[in-house]
Amino acid sequence: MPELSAKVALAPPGTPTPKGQQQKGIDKNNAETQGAKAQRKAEKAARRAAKVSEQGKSNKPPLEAVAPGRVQSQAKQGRTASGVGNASSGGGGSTNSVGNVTAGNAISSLTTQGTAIHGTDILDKRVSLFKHLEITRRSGTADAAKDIHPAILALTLQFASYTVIGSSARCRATLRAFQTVIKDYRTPAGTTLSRNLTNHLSRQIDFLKTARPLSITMGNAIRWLKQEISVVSIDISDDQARESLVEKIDTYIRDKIEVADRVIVQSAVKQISKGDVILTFSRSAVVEQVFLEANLRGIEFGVVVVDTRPFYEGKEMVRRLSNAGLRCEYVLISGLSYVLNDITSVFLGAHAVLSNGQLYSRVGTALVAMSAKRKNIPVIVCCESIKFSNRVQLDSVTFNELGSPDDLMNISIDSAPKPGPLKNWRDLPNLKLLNILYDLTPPDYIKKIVTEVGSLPPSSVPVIIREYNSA
Amino acid sequence: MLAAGAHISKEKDLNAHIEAFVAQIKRRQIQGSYNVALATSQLLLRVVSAARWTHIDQLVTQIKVLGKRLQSAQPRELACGNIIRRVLALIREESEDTNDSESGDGAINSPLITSMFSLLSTNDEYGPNRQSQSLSDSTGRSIKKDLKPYIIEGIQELIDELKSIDESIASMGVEMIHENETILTPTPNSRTVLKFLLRTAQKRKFTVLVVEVFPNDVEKTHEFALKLAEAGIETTVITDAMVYSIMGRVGKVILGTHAVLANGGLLASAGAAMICQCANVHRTPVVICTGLYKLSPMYPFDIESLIEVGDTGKVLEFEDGSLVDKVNVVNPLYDYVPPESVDLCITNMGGYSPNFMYRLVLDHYRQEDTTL
Repeated sequence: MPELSAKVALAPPGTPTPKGQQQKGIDKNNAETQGAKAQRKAEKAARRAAKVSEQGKSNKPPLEAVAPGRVQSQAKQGRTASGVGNASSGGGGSTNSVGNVTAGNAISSLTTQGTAIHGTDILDKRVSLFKHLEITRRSGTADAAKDIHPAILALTLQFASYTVIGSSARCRATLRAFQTVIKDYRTPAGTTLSRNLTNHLSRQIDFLKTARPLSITMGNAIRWLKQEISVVSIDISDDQARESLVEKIDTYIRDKIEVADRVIVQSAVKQISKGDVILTFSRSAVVEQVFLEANLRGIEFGVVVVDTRPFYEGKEMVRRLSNAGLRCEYVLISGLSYVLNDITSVFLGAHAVLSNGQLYSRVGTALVAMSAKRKNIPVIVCCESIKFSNRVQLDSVTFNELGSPDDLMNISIDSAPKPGPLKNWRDLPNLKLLNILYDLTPPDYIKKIVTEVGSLPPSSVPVIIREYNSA
Repeated sequence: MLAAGAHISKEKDLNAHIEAFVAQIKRRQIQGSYNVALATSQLLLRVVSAARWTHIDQLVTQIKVLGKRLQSAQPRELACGNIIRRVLALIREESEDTNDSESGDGAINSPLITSMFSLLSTNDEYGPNRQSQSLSDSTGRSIKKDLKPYIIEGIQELIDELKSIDESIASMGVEMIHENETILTPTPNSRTVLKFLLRTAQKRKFTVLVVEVFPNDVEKTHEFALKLAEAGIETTVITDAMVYSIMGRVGKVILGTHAVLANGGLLASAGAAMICQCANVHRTPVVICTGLYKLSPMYPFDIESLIEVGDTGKVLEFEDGSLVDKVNVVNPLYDYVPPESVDLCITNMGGYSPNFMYRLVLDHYRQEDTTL
C-alpha cells in the first residue's frame, strides 16, 4: 500500500490538469453508477481516506499540491456520508442522495483552495463541435473501490499520465495486469468462476476507462478474454481454470502482438531498399522494428521522423533509431512539406483500422498521408490484425479522444512544463483550446496495409474481420 | 566651400545610417516584411533627399546599388527589394512625365506595352530602344526641372500607403466572412490577418480556429488568439496536426503571407502549404490577405532558395546532447504555397485571383528593375 499511495501523489505530474473537471467527473460517475451503493461506497471511502491520510503523514507528504486537497475532500466525503449515515439509506436509490451532496462539498473545498475554477465553466470550455466526447479525467486512485486490483490502479495511473502509450503497448500492459488480477482472484462462495470473474474484470475495466477510453486493441482483447472465461468448464478447479486463463493470455499476447509484429517486420522490410529515404510520423512500435530490422540487414537508408505536439512521441522513435546507427532527420509537422521532396515512401503505424478502410491513428497522420499522396509517394501502414475494428466512421469528429486542453498551453519542447501566454486561458470565456488525440485517414491515401495475415489494400479490411469472426 | 563641407558631413551621416540599417536587417533587428518595407522606404526618403544628380540615370543607378546591397544583406526578405523597385518605378515615371510635358508628346513615352488594347492604336514610334532613347533625349532637360520634390512626395505617398494597407484590406472582411462562419488561420503571426479579423468581428459573428504553427513564434501565436478572444471572437487554438480532422467544418482558410511571387504563389509561415493542400482536398476556399508591398516580381524557379531555415533548438532542445549529435534537425520558417492552392488574394487594391498577380507586378514595377 505505501507504494501505491506514493503513486497517488505522483499521479498526474506531467501536466497541470483541470482539477475541478476531474472532481466533477468523479462525482458524476459516482452519482450515476453507484446510485444505490452510495452509502456503502461512502463508508468505504471514509475508511480509505483515513488510511490514506495516515499514510500521507507517515510517508513524505504528497508532491502535488492538489493531492492533499483530494485526500481532504475524500475525508470530508466520508464524514458527510457517515454523518447522514442511515438516514439516507432510504433515498439511496435516487442519484440525488449522499453522492451529490458530497459532490458539492468536494468541489467547493477544491475551489476554496484556489486550484480549480467553478464546475460549470468546464463545460463551457469545451469546443462545441466536440461536446459529445467525454472528457477523460485524470484520476488519482483515492476514489477506487476496494475490489480494484492494485495492478489495475497502477496501470490506470500509467495510462492517465501517458507513460504507457500506444495501442499495442496498452493492450499488452492491460493483458498482463489482467493476468495478475486473475492470479489473485478467488471465487466468492455461492458462484462459479466463469460467471463471477467476468463481472470482477468488468469492474476493473470500468476503472481503467476512467483514465482514458479503451483502445481498439484493448477492446478486442477484452472481448476475447471474456469469451474465454465464459467457456471455462465448471468441472475444473479454480486453480486449474486460473492457470489455463493466464496461459491463454500469454499465448494471445505472443500470437497477436509479438509474433504478429515479427511477421509484419519480415514482410515490410522488403519494401525498404538501398538509398531510400523513408518518412514516418510520431512513433509506432512495429514501424520502429521494421526500421531496426532493415538496419540490421545492412540496408542503407534514411529515416525522417515527423513529430507533433503535445506528446512528442517521435522523439523517442528518433532516439532509438539513431542509437541503432540509423541516419535520422527530425522535423515537426509544420515543416512537413519542406522535407517531403526527397522521400521515397511513408511508413505509418495505426491505432486502429476501421471496417470501411479508414485509418484511425495519432492526430496528424492524415495530413502526412495526404501530403504524401499529393506527391505520389506510397503510404504503407504497418498494423497487427488485432487493431482491426468493426466500427465504421467517416470523420474524426464523431468519435475521438480528448486530451487535456492544458497540454496546449504548455509551450515547452522538453519535459519541464513552461506555460506560455495562454496560461490564463480559462479566464477568457471566448477562448478554447482543442486537444484531440486521433484523426481519420481516408483509404485512398493508403497504398497498402501490412498485417501478419498478409499485405492488403484498405478495402480488404472487412474481409479479414469477417474471416476472423467466422473462424 | 562651406556648403560643400556640410554636404560631405551629410553624406557621411547618410552612409552611417545606411550602414546601420544593413546591419539591422542582417541581424534581424528589423523583422517582418511590413517593418522592413517601412524602414526601407524611410531610408530611401533620406537617400533621395540627400542625393544630388545631374541626370536621372545617376539617381537610378545610385538606388539600384543601394538596393543590391540591402538585398544581399537579407536575400530572403523580399519586401526590401520590392520597395526599392517601387521607388525606382516612381523615379522613372516622374522623369518620363516631365519629358512628356516638355516634349508635349505623350505617345512616345507611354509605358511599355502591357496589354493588347494599345497594340492597334500605337504609332510607329514604338521601339525596343524607346526607353533608353527617352532618357538620353532628356539629357539636359531633366536638370532644368527639379524632380526631387516630386520623387520625395511619391515616396511619402508610398509610406502613407504602407501605413494604411491593413485598413484597406480589413474593410474587405465583410465581403468575405458570413455570419456564424468558421474561419481557420494557419498564419497567426500576421498583423494583417489580425486586423482583418478584428475589423470584421465588428459586423459579423464568427469562430476562428487558430493553428499554432509550432515551434516558431508560438508566443505570438498564442497572443494572437488572446487578442481575438478578448475582442469577443469565439477562438479555438488547435495544433498543426489537427487541421485535417477539423477542415471539414471550416468555411474559409485565411492566410497572411510573407511574400507573394509574380506567379501568384506565396511564401507563408511553415505548415501553410500542407494546410492549403488540406483545404483544397476539402474544397475549402483559401483566401490570402496581403499588402502589395509584399508582391515580388520574382518567379519561384528555385523554391528551396526562398525558404529560410530557423533555429533547430526550438525543435529539439540542445540539452539533449546525445540526441542532437546524431540527428539532423530541420526547422523551416516558411513554406511555398503554389498558386493552384489559393482561391483569392485580397490586397489593398482589392481582391484578385492569384492568376492575375503578374499583371499587378507589371503595374507596380518596371521590367528593367526586376534584377537590381
